[in-house]
Amino acid sequence: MNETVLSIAGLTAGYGSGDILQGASLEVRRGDVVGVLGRNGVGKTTLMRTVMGLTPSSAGSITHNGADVTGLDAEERAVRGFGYVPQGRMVFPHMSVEDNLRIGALERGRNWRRLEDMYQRFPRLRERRRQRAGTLSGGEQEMLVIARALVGDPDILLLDEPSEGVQPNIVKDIGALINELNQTGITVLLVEQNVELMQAAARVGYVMEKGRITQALSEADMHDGERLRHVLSL
Amino acid sequence: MDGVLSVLYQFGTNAAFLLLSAIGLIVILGMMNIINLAHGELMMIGAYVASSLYHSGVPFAACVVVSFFAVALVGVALERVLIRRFYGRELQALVVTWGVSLILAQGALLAFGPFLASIPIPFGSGTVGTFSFSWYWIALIVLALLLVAGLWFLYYRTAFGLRARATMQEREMAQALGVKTGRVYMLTFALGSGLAGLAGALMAPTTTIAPYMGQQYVAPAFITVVTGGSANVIAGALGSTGFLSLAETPFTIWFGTFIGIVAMLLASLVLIRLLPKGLSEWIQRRWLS
Repeated sequence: MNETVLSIAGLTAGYGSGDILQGASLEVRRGDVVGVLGRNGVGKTTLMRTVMGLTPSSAGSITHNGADVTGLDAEERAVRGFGYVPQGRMVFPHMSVEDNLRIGALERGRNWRRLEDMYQRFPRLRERRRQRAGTLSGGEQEMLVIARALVGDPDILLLDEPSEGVQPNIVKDIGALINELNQTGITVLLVEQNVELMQAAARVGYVMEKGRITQALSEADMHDGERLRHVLSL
Repeated sequence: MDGVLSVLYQFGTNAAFLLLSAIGLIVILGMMNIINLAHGELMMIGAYVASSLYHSGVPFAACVVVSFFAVALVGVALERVLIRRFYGRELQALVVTWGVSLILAQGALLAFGPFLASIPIPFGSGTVGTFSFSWYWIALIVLALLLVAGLWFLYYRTAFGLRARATMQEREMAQALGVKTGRVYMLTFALGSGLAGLAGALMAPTTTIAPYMGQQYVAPAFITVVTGGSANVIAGALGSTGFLSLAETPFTIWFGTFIGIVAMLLASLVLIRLLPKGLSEWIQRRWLS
């Protein structure tokens, strides 16, 4: 079995009163695509923000490649290889597409050649490299934030609902893209409520309900669309 | 011919005055959204440093450079001790910086008395026909433009600039990409303070060096920054100083300085009414995207 890249145990976090995350635990192994399936409001985004270090945790631990990173802030986690693709995209709207990519590489070794790799993978971004990121379409912005995370050659990619607000045909493209990335060895943690994307991209998964991970989904479970849809209707 | 030169000169000096008054504020307000009411006092400190050094025999150019670094250090101290506790709380930051401004001005009065020895205007004056001008003001016009060019270079061509723009636009996302945003804020505040100090030193020969001298620069500085807007601070700085001194200059020439300032205020009111996000948003929409 492959080594564990990311391990979360009993993670509790929230904003002010009431924890949104109530003791979530999961594991991601190297080279895997792990999906976390849950309805709106169960704490998926808080889970990702807490893993990234943007929302402070009040209990539990986050371990990356065997090292406890719970006490590190987001900057240090990013430098260690957490690549974050937030929900709602968060491009730098007044910066050019190219500058959005450059900032992704800046604190991760300044390997500017990887910009060229990204332009090869996403020719649309090359066409629009001088354009301000805020003027791109939703699908193009999604490509840009994924490319911005990839240009830093992340050790683990955290994808927070990439299907949100993009057209159905682009959701298919995102699924294919995740598979392609996984072929090159990238480890992915994906949270979603889109069953099609989950099935297309994730090999194994978890179910999240009310701030907790309630079941693990095996490879066989992931093929069972009925079961996944049932999870969402709970 | 002399008349044209005279109008151009008046326009240039008005614009340079606004640009130098505002440049430190542009960085701090535009990049950090901190309304720094101590801006004028930072300029005052710059002038004080320059005057003290000048009268102990240091060449004026060196005084100006030292003022930049000295006031930048004051900025670092202010940011670490006070300002960083108020990010995202604009009104509280405004009150805090107002308090700082009172303490600095009153402190200068207590420590150095009501006046400091003035600095004579360098370079003398020149004439073309009947038109006479001060070489120092010509130098200030050039320097103001060089400072803006330098800021542009810093923000659009260096790693610091990339980090600073990203931090300003989406702080959390910048953090999640590894940018040490706390450090960016500290350096930005230091830069803005340093530029205020530099401007204060540059203005020192043109005015009386006194504890409350900063006041005369604060209002024009804020008007310049608000008229420029924050969509693109560099374009905003150039656009608004150009626009405001265009409004001010003819009235100054025909009716005197006071009416000139009134005209400038009215022009900025009308502009903000028509373009609430400032000139730079309009410039960006029209020409830069």
